[in-house]
Amino acid sequence: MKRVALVFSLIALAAPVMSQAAAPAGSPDNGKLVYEKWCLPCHGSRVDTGFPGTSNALYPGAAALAVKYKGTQPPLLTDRTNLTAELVKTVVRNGISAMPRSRKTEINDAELGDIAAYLTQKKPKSK
Amino acid sequence: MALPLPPNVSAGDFRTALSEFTTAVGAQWVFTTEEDVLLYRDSYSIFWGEPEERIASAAVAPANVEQVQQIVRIANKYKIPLYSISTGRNLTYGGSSPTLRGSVIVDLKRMNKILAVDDKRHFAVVEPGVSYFDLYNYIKEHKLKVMLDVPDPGWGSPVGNSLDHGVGYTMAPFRDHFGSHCGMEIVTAEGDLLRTGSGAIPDSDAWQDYHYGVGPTVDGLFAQSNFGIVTKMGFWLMPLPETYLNGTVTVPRYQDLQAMIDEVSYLEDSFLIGMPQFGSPAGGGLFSPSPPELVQLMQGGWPTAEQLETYLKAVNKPAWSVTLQFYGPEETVRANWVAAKRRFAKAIPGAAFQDGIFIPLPVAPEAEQNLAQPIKTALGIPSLEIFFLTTRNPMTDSDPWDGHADFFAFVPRKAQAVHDAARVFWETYREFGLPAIHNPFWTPINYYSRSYVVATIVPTWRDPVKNAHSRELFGRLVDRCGEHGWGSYRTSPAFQERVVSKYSFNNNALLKFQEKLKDGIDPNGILSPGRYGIWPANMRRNRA
Repeated sequence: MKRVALVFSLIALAAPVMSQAAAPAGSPDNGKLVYEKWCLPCHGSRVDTGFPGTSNALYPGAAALAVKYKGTQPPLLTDRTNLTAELVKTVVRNGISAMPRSRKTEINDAELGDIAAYLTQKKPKSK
Repeated sequence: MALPLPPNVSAGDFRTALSEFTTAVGAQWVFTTEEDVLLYRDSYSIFWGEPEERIASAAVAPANVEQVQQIVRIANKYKIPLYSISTGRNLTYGGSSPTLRGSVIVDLKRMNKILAVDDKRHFAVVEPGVSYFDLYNYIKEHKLKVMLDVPDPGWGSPVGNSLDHGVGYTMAPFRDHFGSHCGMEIVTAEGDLLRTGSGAIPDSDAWQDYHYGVGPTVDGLFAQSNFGIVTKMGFWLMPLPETYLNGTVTVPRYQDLQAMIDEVSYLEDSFLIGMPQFGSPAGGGLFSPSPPELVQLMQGGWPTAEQLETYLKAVNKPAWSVTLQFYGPEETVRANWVAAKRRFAKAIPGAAFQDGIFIPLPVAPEAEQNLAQPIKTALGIPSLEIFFLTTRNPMTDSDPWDGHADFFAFVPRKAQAVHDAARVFWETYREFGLPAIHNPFWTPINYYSRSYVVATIVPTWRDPVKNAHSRELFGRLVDRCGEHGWGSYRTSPAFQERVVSKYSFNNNALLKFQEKLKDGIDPNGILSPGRYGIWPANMRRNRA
């Protein structure tokens, strides 16, 4: 039964992937703004600045990825170098695990492309 | 997955209605493809992929009040059931999926204007598509001297959250989000427009100052229900306090909880503290594994009070803690903490105190997003940090949850009721063969100042077999709590009728009265039919 559910989920994910494949490349600059509005509150982190009440922690989405990848991938999406536009669009649109779907009145197709462009742009080499 | 038709509507009438919706709002804002409509599925559905899953037939997104009125009139013409949503996710409570399968979603996200924020009379007026993040950023950008009271996920809508009786974390009058509203604008089931309170006086400047008007107060009809679509709502806000201070009280014995509750209730009901945050150093945290020594003790069953006092001496930890939060000028918050310590010390032998943090407000910008979660919400800063509870974590790594269904039982502010509810949860989870994280030190949550929530979480999955198990567990929790007189405040469509069935005084007199109202106000039964058990007359045979 679990396998049936998995197949069903993959079919459900396939349609948007195909329809989005031909979309033009997005704007990383606008993608950064959209990412910071919708994604960062769950995929970012906070640090202990010495100010009362501050502390070091990954936000829940980043913490979940840390548990999932166990050090084989960085927990922050902005540090990843292996994301593809198709994967980003599929996950943002359809959700995954405890992450919910995103309706088009919230993140439209152009903004979705912008997030993908932002997260897949070439990262500067770490020093 | 084929999209359903609205019940009792022909395919031809549905096509015509969609065409008229398109004329009203524009083709871009009528969603009819599977790819678009399935985005309104409940991501945490406990019926995921099963015939009972509440799938919409289409979605329509108006940009203004006039378009909402047109949609309602078209729906009346063709008897199309509508289901209105604001913004955010409503996760664990049904998401954006309708109570009645085949309803058309009315997505109000595009109505996203912040119409007023007044930091002298301390109120805001917003449309449904405005989120707590939006409103917070607006207040910050304009340097307005008010503090929001935010629920856990900040992407929610003040309108939607308050209409669903959502709650927050600051001072009592503001934590009750529906209770702190002042004035609403509603599109009725027939497409008329009305305003409540002083807003019923044309061009009144007092809409957000005086909320009752005269005669019956009808605002409550539009909460959690299906009597209208709210298009504007005013909220009273707290003036930005000069400072925030917290401090923690611990008490040594299991039996001290009642005395602690009595002192907390005195401070809370006197408006001397904000939301008290209960804990148990000896019992572990809420939703965390119990300490090994306690697990071992509980292998013999639910411990007696005497066994628990012995356990406390062995582990040498306080039984209970409460963090008190103070808002106001530095002189008064420090004085109130001193007074609180004096009262606890007199009432409870062995009470101990730990000074917490002191923060001048507004929070320094470089610190704001780095504050730990309990402080963020205590200061009205929206976030998504609550998801730490149920996203993949070391406890669930081997079989991560896909979602969850929250169950909140409302109990009196009495220690025995808190203990009884924890025991009901523990027994029910054991009955279902699940690891029982509940223990005798399970603590209440004081969202609504005059009652306690004793909360638990039931996992949901993309697996129908596991979901069937979760449904059975959730239903059993509803029933067992109902036997004790503990109701729930909000739940997903899958359980709304079951939860409502506990409010059955005098042969369901309340529900019958609501049904009479439904018949008169919404004769075609087009507005969110079935929500919280209120079905239109022609669908009442659907009642479970």
